[in-house]
Amino acid sequence: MAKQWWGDVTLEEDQLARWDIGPLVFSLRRHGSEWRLQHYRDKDPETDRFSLAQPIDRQLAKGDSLRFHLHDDNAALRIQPLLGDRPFIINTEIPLRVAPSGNINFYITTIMRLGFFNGTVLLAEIPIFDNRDSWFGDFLSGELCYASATLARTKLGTIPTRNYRPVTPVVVQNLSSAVLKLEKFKLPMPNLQLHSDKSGRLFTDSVYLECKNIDRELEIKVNRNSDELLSSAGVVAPPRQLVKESYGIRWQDSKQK
Amino acid sequence: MIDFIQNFFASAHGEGLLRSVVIILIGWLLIRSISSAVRSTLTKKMSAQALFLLLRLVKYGITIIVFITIMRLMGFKLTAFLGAAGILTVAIGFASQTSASNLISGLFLIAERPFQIGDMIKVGELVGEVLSIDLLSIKLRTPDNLFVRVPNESIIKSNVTNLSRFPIRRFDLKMRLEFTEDLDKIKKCLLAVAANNPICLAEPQPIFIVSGFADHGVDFQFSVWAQRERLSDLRFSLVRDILHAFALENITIAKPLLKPEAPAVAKVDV
Repeated sequence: MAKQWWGDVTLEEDQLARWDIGPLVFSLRRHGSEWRLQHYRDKDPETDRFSLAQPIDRQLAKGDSLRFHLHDDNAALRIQPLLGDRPFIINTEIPLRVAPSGNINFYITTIMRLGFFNGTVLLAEIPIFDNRDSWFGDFLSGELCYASATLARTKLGTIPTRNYRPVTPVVVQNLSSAVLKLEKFKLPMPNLQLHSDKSGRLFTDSVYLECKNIDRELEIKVNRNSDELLSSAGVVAPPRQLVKESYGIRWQDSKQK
Repeated sequence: MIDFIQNFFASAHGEGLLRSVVIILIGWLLIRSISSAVRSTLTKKMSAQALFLLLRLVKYGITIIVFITIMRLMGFKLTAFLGAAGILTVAIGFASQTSASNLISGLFLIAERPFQIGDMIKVGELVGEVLSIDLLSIKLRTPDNLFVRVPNESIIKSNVTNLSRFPIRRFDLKMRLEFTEDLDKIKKCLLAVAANNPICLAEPQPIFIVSGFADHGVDFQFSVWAQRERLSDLRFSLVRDILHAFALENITIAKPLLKPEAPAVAKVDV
């Protein structure tokens, strides 16, 4: 498996190549300055395929098409992994009761998106899997999120290594004096930075969920770079949204510590 | 000719006229510069409608001040003028009750802000996108591209539904199925359809409500949630998927029973 599968793509005139990344299959063909992208997705989020830039003779038999016109014939098209454009809702299989002063670590994988760039300009982005939409919170102050296709484990080693599914370290801390019943929470994906370690595995910033009062919503903190897991990682994609723009999320930067 | 002009401007009337022209010019420049400053500094901070109102206030406020100043310069007594204006206002007030009502309603609408420019609203039977909220009326564009002017008074008096206020909407599908159908099977089938439809939201969860017995079947309602912008796509895809699933599961939608009517007997006078 390639360590780093994203970056600039250059194709010969009329060359056609195919990528299989999890449930997503796409092909690219270049005619002069014009690039044509064709893509489709499987309905199963667990489809595990990974092959890159395989030359093919014919277009994919199905799928939607997109066309990009770059500034010159020699310009490269850049493929870059991007985190979700909305938060993900994480539902625990069985509600988890966290004792007062207790904390628990999770490692959660989510499905991301692919961005197609001309230099620094994003031309289009497509999801690797069509996540189901969902609503988090009450009708007046809640927000639209993604619902499906996440996998959570308490130990990192038990999560299958897939280079197209980033891992988010999450710490839930119960700072209240009552038992916290954890049924669901949201991961603020647009506020997280995407990193890659030396083996090419993708990670995001760490997320801390603090419960100071069980009658209130969990307080979300995003911790950039302070986690040992991320200290050796390089940045792949910056956060889509600054934390100060997000409701209910408090920024905690390692520099401010 | 030149002497006449020099004499005219040297006279009291000429001087007054000259001053009036200068005051009008200053007033005009003030309106332009203040409006421009307000527009450039407050465009991002205020709503389009509040900005529109503020600009109108600036324009009419300065115009009234200029007008009163010129009247005093020309030697008019303000008290007599205000008395005449009062009588005129009463006369105009009687003649323009509807406009005044619309104007006041417009101010209430701007202050209350039940909708904004770009929102889709429903007023009575009329549905349309709000193009502008003016002092006398609002302008709507209907889905079939008609331009409709609705007086503000009607808006204040009617029930207005803002279809764009919340990001998610519920779609209620009412159905009637044969008495012989298994309700548990129907519920399971419908929930599976919703779970496989990418437009249906996972939460709030779909609702299955039995309304009661009807003449020839069981009435129920299946409600699912979707993003506001995708509601019409949901209507099509959900009905299509349900029909497909019902066909696979051999679930029958109740057909309305038609009662045959007895043929009318012609009356014959004997």
